[in-house]
Amino acid sequence: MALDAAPPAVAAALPAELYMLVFERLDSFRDLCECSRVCRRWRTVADSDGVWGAMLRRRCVDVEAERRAQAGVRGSKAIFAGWHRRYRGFTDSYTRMRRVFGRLESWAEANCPLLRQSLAPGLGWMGDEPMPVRELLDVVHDSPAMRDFIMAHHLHDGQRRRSRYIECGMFGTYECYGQACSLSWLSSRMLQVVAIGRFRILVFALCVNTQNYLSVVVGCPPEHEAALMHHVVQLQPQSHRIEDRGLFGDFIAAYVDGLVAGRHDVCNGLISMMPNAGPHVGSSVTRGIRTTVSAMFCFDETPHFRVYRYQVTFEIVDPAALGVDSVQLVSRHWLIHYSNREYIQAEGAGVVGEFPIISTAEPYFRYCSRMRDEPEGLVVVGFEGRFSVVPGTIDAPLGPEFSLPVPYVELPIPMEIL
Amino acid sequence: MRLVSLVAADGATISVEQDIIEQSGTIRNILNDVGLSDAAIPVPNVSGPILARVIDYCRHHRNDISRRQPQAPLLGEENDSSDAVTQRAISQMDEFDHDFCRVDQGTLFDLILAANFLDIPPLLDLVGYTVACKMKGKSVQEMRDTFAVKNDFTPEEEKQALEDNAWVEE
Repeated sequence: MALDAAPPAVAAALPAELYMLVFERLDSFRDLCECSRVCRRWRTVADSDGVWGAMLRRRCVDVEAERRAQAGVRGSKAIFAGWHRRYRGFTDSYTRMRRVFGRLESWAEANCPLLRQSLAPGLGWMGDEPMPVRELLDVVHDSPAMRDFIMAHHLHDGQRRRSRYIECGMFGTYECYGQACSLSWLSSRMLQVVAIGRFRILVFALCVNTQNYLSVVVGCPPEHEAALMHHVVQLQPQSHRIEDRGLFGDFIAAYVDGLVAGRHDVCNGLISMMPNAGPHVGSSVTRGIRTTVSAMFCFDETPHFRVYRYQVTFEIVDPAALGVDSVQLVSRHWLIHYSNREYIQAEGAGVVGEFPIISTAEPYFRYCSRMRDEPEGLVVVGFEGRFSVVPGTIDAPLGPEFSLPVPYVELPIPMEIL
Repeated sequence: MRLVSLVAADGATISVEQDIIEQSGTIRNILNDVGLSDAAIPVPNVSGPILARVIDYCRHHRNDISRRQPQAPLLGEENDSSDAVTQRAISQMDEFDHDFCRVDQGTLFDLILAANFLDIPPLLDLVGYTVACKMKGKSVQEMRDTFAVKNDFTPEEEKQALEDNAWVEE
């Protein structure tokens, strides 16, 4: 049985329906256009709205927006051709960012309405009204790696703000010792390029309270170009400690994947900056209470020794296993590990000055604190420990104290650029 | 397990276990309507040999749970790139599927039509993507040769078709 051998006039006798079923499964619009030039029969089907409708969906084209932008356009193929022309060079970014932001919008609508409402309308495309993205290009020079960034602002020009401080930062919030941080996505008007040593970074997300930020490297010394140019980074000015989060397109796709996968808790309508899963998280369940510790490096703190912020969350996940309605936190016990293999024990009553009660009525308690290198030069690398809790309350206990252990948490050590 | 009788376009009668043939949405609907009747189900659009191949496919894949459910997109799948959907369709092909598609073009086309009529989405995807792959990257003349299609355009029509599709190169 010869496989590709031309069967005698078989193909010509086939119903249009069959071609539809095949053409709908062509990945590439180029192949579809080639099919259109094969013969009359193929042309009718390959040019049809059904087939090009499928192609428009594949590429996540906003058909309504295209109809508005391409006045008088008729037919799916013409819409696609017009889209391809308008976004010349950016079509791959368009599809990629439409997909990412589509997922973000769906997730936010269901899980974090404050974020959904805060996403601003995008900049108009080249030559369109209002606020053409061309102005953004004055700040962000076009290059393949920056197309995703430009396209993101075309879809949403950052987060809307009524005041300097946006409560629901797109990239997360935390509260530590009374200091609130909300890392929000800046609109194009607020983008600025900052020089840090021999680097130039474009800051695109910022917390005005803490100066915590995210940026893209737009200029760097030649020896770092291959690894860091156009990467999303956090960079500590004097110490030159850096966290590399990859090209913008990859960074935003990974971040949205994390949100959709539930790796960031949403409390009181705000996205928790510290994830609840991953290499720098320790979690265990004891007697129906889950204790989670999540750590992150603070780029916005002093560069002289390293400071880490960690967040502890207690949650009653199995009231039956707990057996009582509430427990009260009595004390904390940490074992802090240092790079020279030494460790220090740190203990204290309560947490952040409180003795919180976790109950079936209020099954969730969270606090945030800091861990740092010792001034004598001991460099912290991780920690573990336990919390002592008592069933009932400290004044009226319903049983003996027991421990909520925390498995070892490895701290995220930033890279150092010399 | 109840046996269902199918009568193909050429009159051939084939018996198949109900749980196997219920991978076909069309047959599933007919069985729901017909109930416990033993009457043979006509399948007028599909010849005996093709029907037998489709049943072989269904028999091989009888234990694939996903094939029973209506093909709703998985969370996030509707956002996947066309390449990802194709890659998944291809990566889910086992050796049986590869061999299944090693048939002449005429048979492939008949299988597409049968899978469409019988509403068996995984089979439709399998054979549909197989034929689409044969078109991938081919020039106009290469496609005519592969699929034995005669160029019935007039010179003007051919020129027009070329111009209408020139935007692809921009």
